[in-house]
Amino acid sequence: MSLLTTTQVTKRFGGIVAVNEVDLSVGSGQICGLIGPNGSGKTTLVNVITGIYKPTAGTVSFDGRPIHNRPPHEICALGVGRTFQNIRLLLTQSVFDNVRLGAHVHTRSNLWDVLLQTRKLRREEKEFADRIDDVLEFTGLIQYRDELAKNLPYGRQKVVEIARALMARPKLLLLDEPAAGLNSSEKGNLMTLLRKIRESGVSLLLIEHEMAMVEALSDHVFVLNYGRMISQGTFADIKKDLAVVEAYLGTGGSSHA
Amino acid sequence: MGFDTVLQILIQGLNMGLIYALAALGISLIWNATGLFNFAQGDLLTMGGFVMLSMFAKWALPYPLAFVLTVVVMGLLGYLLSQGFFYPMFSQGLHPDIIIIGTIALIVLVQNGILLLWGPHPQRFSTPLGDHPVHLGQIIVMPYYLWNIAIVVVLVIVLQMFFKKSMIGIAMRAVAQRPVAAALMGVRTNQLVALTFLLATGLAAVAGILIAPIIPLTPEMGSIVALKAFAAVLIGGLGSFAGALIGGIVIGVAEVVFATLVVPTYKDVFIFLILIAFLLFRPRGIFSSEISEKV
Amino acid sequence: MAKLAALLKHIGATQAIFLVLLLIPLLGVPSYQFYILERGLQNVLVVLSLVILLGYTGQLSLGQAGLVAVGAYTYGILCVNFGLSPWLGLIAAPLATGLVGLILGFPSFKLTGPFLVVNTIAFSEIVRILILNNEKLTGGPFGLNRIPTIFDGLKLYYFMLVVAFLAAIGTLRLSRSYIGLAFKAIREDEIAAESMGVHVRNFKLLAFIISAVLAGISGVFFANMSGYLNPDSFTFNESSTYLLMVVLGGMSNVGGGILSSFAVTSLPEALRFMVRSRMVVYSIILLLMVRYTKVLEIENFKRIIRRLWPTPPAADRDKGNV
Repeated sequence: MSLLTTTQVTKRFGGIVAVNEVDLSVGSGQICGLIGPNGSGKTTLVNVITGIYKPTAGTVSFDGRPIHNRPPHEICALGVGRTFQNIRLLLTQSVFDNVRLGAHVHTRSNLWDVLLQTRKLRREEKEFADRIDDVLEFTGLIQYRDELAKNLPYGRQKVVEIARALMARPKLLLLDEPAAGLNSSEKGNLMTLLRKIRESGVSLLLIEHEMAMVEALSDHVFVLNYGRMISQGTFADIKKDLAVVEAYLGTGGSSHA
Repeated sequence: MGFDTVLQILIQGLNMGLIYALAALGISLIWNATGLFNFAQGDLLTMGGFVMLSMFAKWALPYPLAFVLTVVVMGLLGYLLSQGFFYPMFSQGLHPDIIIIGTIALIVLVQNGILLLWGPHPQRFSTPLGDHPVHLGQIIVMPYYLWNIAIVVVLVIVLQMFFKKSMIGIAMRAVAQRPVAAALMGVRTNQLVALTFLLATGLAAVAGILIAPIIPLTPEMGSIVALKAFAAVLIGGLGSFAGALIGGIVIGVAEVVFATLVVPTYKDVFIFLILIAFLLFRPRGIFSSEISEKV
Repeated sequence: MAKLAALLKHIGATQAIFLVLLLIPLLGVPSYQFYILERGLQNVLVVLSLVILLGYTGQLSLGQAGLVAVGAYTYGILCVNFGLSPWLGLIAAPLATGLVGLILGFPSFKLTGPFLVVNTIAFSEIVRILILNNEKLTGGPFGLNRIPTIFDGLKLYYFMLVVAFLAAIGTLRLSRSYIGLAFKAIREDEIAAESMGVHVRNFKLLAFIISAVLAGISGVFFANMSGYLNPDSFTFNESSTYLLMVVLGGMSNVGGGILSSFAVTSLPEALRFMVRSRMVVYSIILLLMVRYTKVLEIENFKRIIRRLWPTPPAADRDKGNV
């Protein structure tokens, strides 16, 4: 059963068609890759899925429900998590607090609980704190717990974003170029982490330029070019597909942005 | 409503409107060059008026000399403000909210400085043309109306020529439209921004000089004038030369219309509501058709 | 010195400030200085309102004077014109101000930076003009007179102190909570906040409402202190002074904001004219601070402060301690 489905999604900005009639689906327990040259509309598509943009045409459904008309915070609450291409952490806050933001959707306390420091609040905060530590352990960040996010090396910051997204207990995680800017050992750690995430029951849609990673991880790959889906299938399938090769040769692109 | 009343309203509205237009022009110029909102334009206007007060009314310098000196002094102040304060902040890439806070601090400084130097009481001076109303048929015209209009018209023509024909003017427009290319072509951005501030502050000073006979100067009037100038800028479209003029005239006339036809005590509220309406619904002005989405 | 630092660390900087404020009047303070002290305390509430609205949520508002006016005049009008008991006025006025704050919050969905600022300035001016021109209700330029008070003299001071203390504690609790985190997320990155599930619009409204309620309470206190209200006390001048206070205090720093409220309001002034030149001095300080922000990176100061007063380990925080 498909977890996420986009049907003929199109997104226009004035005269530019960034995403053009894209049909895509991610099944439960899958890791899917989304590749294409720079400017092919991958991030825009993810922004449409997560509700930052409304599609000009087409629909998006998640877990059987239409989400293309919903605001981002609702879509997040339904179980769609994401990371960003350019890191969007709260740099002035600690790693702990950054990850804590991920739990916002599950917070039950209200303003009065906060002002009066009720038992309900204290209990909830303790539970969240434990869970944050779990997530930090899971992602290998526990030693940075109280460090300010801006003091972390770039590669770790990217993992903090993943930890934050995991905190919300997503069913689907959209990752926008998580490997960009990482060195080879960091990339290896990332691959292990992504596999762990899938094993824990979270599906992944991975935007990447790092072909080795896409090949190693993906069950299914989607290829975009100029906003259109030009190919899909297993990595072996699309590799053979000439259209893909042409797109990449045409832009002189390789495995790096 | 008689034709005479309409004409009366138009002339009065045009008079104040052109003054607002000058302030709006200054705001647009600075925004074009730096993307910054100089909230202090209103208070620089006030300061210009007070400086003129000292030169003309207190030290009894002849009107034309005092006029020119005031504009020069204020222009110089604008230049120094740019070099010492605005440009460094702008080039450091500070968060825009921080820069706004800095501008507010500047306003507080100017307002309190004026208070210290000139005291809290409203003050005014009259132009050499005097204060006797001139009767043209049924219409009452103050002698300085025509003076105001003439000055502004001359200024506008000179400025237009400056921007279209002179090297500096063209360079300023280049910096506004293509900052990077301009820099690559050897344009010294900080000098041009300083020049822009000089020009904008000079315009504010002229506006202050022209406004003093009409509305007595007080230290706090800057914020209210600035709000009306902002309304003018928004109506005409941020960054547009012609828009600032048109917007200013619209605000000036609207103000008089409202005061005459509805109730004078709330004319400012009326203008501020227009400002808010444009902020919320049409921030790019009446003439703009482009509402771009940022990817 | 180390013992003092340890004591301060134990009870918290904010609590220490309030302790001092508790004790000062007992030492005997001349009545003019006492009034100034009271004014400083009254301003603390407005500074707190800006700490939440600007410091935490990043919404730059120069309309706080208008909100204080709404609180003060609602209290005044209800008590004088409608004969309401001052205690009921104390409840009603902040609620009314909160409602106005809600209205003020809606434009924040669309407006940022200079546009938002202009909007709040315009709003505050509209409030002032409305007050000025409704003489029957507000006394217009002649002001509202003989406003009944909740307490007088020293009792009022201690009542205000308790309320301000509770407000400060509430603000600190807010800061460390998920709500404060949501606010800060909105300030730093609205899109990321929204994508992480924060209902940005509702939380912005919440920030405006809380901020307005605090300003409204401050207005009630203002009415109580002098028993008289005049629209000249609620101008752009006041709004910018509040902004000055919160920025000098460190924007999102409660203790700093409280200190700077007193510093700007209450520092001894020998002569009348000192009021104006004091503002000149403060605005120059702020100008320099802004101009040299990068140089004065707050981090450097924080490092020094952290060595004197190390923050408690996060584990303490999670157990729900204040």
